[in-house]
Amino acid sequence: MTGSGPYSRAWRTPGARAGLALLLLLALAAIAGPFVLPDPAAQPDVLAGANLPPSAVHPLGTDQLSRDVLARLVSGARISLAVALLAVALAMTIGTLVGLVAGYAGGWTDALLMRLVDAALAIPRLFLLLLLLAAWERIPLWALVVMIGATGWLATSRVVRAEVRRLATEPFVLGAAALGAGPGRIAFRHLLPNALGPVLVSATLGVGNVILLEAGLSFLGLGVQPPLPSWGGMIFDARETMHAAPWTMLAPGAAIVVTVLAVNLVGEALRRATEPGR
Amino acid sequence: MSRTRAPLACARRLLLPAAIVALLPAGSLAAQRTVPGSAVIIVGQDPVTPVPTLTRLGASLDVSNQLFLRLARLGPGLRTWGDSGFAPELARRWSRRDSVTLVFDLDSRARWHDGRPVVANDVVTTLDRARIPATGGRYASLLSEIADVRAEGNRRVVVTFRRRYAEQFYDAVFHVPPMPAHLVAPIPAESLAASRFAREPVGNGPYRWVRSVPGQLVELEAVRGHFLGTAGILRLVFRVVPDADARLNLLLSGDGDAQEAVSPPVANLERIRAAGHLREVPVASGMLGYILFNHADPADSARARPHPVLGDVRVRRALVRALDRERMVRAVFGPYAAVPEGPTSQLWWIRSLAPAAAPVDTAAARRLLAEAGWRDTDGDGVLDRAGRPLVLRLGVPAPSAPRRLIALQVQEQLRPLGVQVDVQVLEGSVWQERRNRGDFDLDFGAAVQDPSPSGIVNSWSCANAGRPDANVGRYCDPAVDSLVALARFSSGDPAPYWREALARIQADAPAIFLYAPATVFAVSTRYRDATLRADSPWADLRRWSVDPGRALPRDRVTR
Amino acid sequence: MAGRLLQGLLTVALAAVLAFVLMRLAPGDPLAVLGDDRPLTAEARAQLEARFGLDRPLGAQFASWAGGVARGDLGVSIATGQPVTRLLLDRLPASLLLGGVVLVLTFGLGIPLGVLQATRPGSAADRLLGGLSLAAWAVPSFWLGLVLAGTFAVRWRLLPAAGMTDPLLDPGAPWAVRAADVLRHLVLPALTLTVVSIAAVMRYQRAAMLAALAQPSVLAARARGLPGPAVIWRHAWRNAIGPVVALLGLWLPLLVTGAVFVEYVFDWPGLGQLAALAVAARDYPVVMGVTLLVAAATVAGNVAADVLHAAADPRLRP
Repeated sequence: MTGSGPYSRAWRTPGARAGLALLLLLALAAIAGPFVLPDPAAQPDVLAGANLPPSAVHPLGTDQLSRDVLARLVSGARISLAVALLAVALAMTIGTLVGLVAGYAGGWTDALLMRLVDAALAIPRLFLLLLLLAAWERIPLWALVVMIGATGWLATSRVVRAEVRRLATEPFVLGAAALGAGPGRIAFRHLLPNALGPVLVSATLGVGNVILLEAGLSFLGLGVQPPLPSWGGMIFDARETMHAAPWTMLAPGAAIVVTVLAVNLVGEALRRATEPGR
Repeated sequence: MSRTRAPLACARRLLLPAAIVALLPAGSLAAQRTVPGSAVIIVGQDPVTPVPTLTRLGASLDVSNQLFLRLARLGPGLRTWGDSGFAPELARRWSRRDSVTLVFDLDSRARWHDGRPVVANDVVTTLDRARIPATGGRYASLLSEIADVRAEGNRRVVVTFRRRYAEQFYDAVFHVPPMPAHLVAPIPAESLAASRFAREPVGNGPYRWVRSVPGQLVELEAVRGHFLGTAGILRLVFRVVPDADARLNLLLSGDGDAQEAVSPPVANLERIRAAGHLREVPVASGMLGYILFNHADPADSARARPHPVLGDVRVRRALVRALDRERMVRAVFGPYAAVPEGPTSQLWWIRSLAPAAAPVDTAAARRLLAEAGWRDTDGDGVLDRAGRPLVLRLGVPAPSAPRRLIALQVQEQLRPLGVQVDVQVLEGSVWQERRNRGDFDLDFGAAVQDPSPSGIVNSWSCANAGRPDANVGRYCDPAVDSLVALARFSSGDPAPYWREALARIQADAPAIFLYAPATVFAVSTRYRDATLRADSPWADLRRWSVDPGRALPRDRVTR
Repeated sequence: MAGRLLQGLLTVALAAVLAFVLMRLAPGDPLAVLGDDRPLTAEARAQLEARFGLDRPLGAQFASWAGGVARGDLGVSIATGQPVTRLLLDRLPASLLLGGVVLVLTFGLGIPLGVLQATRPGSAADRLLGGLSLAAWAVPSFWLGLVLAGTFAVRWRLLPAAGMTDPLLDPGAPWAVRAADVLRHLVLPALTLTVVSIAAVMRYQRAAMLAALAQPSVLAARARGLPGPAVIWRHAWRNAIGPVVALLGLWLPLLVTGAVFVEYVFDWPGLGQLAALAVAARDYPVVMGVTLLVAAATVAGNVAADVLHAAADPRLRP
């Protein structure tokens, strides 16, 4: 990207570069990991090989079932990142559509949609998820993505709605309407592209939040289901071993902090770059 | 039951000059100086209704056992047949009138905590309540052999049984400790749980009720001048901490004095040893962990068809043979668990009667599977037969870490054989509902057994096949049923019948019996005489005392 | 204002319906916990279902629950048999205490730090604080809690690892002794929550302050030669406090339940812990009770945020 658009402005900040570099590294590890690391489910020796400290063979040690912590961490990265990206994409899509409809249609539709959003927002997201996820005997990964996505669009829809309502009175939109453009065309050709800026920023910051949220749910046993490794689940398991084998606790925690930090650095740079005040 | 140490210490004190006494280690000064003492016992659940007939397990039972004495206590041998394994408690003595009648004479010194004497009518009222199905719940079935309970005067109770059997005495004294009739009789049985009595119980035990903060603690205090002796520790607190890790942290930091079930995870044992002020005490427990085979086809809503895979005893035996149970149990429980050879926990005296199982043999397991027609025809690493792959769902309740860890090991150990196990970790209530529906191939169950081996009929008899919370795997072998009946009801030594029944169960392979653990307690080393009992862990607590040299500030508080 | 109130009530009612429907979609048996690992007889089960009204149609159950709420009766917990109102009231103080202390700490520390950053934008201090707050924002609270408890409570034994009070402390002990005891228990959970939430306040305050410092009136005050602190606190900060104060209102539900993980890890006897346990046990009445309370707090918080924002921002004053 060249020029002086908001995205290249964002890219020029050191924070964004560091964040992107970290994310790239993480993605690379997640992709290449399975080819160089041991099977994350393998239990070579549950008696003598459990809770081993980091060594050349196991760079991050082993857990209480003698599984390789690094292999599980990398395997967990694939799942955590995939869940986060898909869930946020879903949330943004729903949020944008609802916001667009409510903001542009106005009247009854708007009132009804926004009352529903208010009601759902009155229950904290974690709580809403606890209720939703309890509805499954065993939560498949796709359901987890859908549930996290389905509870993440509320705030976005409000932002988009506000943006659309603001844009709807702008001369270029009024002009398009005067020239006979239909509501669908106005919504998608004129309103949507201009309302996307804030959506992108909240999406980036949302990814960080969702990684934390998924880790928390897995920690409570409601997220990614074993034997699939997830960072939150690894922390849950590590509670039993954190004193005998601190690496089992520190590794997944550090992975979460670094990943969320990287995502937020990028999101932060984007937000500053697209802020109208700058 | 008075202390025997005092005279010795007195003699020494007379002989030694005071200056030397002052140099003695704190322990020998203990006899002269005592502190009121306190104990904080950390428990996992709230003791909601610590009252007989309303509780059977967990913290409620622990508290109930401090408040309410039984007619007699079960001795360390855990022998439940006859009366030779029992010692007097509320009953001073007992005798047998005929083969179906037992007579108990109550100790005249026994008092309720409100001062009223314990009388025969208390025993009659309590047992009568517990015997009626509508009010006794589970106890009604445990006491179903009791035909009549009568008071003869104020101190004598006569219990009549429907027939002669080995565990008459056990049934009469163990299940339900007496409650005070003058307080309980006016309360309708169905509202007992919500009554003031259940919230602030009045018992006759060595400790009395002080207060409770729901979800946080229950506090008891020693009854001074109790007829069995005043407890050496005056304040007793059961501290409720639902989270296992927080529980252990509390113990290690010294804010708690004792805790049940500190291991697994075995890593905890190292921490307890490293802490220096705690010791680990394994106590035989009624816990039994097993992976149950479903004998019925979960796809058949009537559960009438046999299971398409597990209906074949060869497959069941193959899975048992293939697994290195010892290894899994050591990895999860460390040294403190036995690998059971049948549905027998450490509390059952019959556990040693079962024949030793054949050793782990994956080659034999493969042969058995091949005999049953399972082969990997498509080369995907999973055996198949007539187009159906050998995939089994294993339901595991999420709250149980040992079961989760063992399930993952089972999955790994069976994979090389071409048996694919899908571990399904389910929330506790969901898991329970599913297993009661019979909707599983393999189910990771765990039972907590009473000391009586008669309990075998709950989960392993034809009569209970398909009953919720009982024999959900629908195992049924009439020969086992009749052997168990012989063991229970014939006169003479029941051991040979038990031996035969256990051998048959092993051959039928209705489940993979995985672990019969001891409960590992951690107790602060500042207590003297800190013994724990298998039938009721804290029941000897009244004999504990605090080493005065190691007393904490909270040990000196008196009310 | 009356309209706002009515709308708020409607929102809470809708939230209750939503929670009720979601909860009842879930499989699982609230009576399973009462079984105590022993079979409940069909008879006993039927009696229990009748007692808790579980045998009636869902609509009727909701209607009778809502009727109870109108009379101030939230029903009886299936797991413990205790009135839900009592359970909530028992746990509310712990949540309010923890939430309140965290509120004071995050705002008391976050506001000056944010202002400090804004007055020296781009400086080493600004970048360091910005980086630190971004990192703190990325820390999972339950993990931090476990690590802090493992270090300060278990390894070094400096502070209690769990709970809110020492249960053996004599309830008749002097007031100061009991307060000190609670304070000791409060340190780690409060620290954990403050670390993971202070970033929001700092960033809000920094952004608002930057904008305020660029306003003509502030620039004019500077040009008049007024001393730095006077300009910063009297002129700029007054204009920059609005959004931060509004954040206070949004924080209100957090006081009640935002600390689910921290309460869980530190066994803090608050509402978040109660909620998580109740959902797992399918204790319907308790789940509904907590949801209602939280929804009410959220709606009240939103209204408070608007009011506070308006009150704090001179430009929005009528």
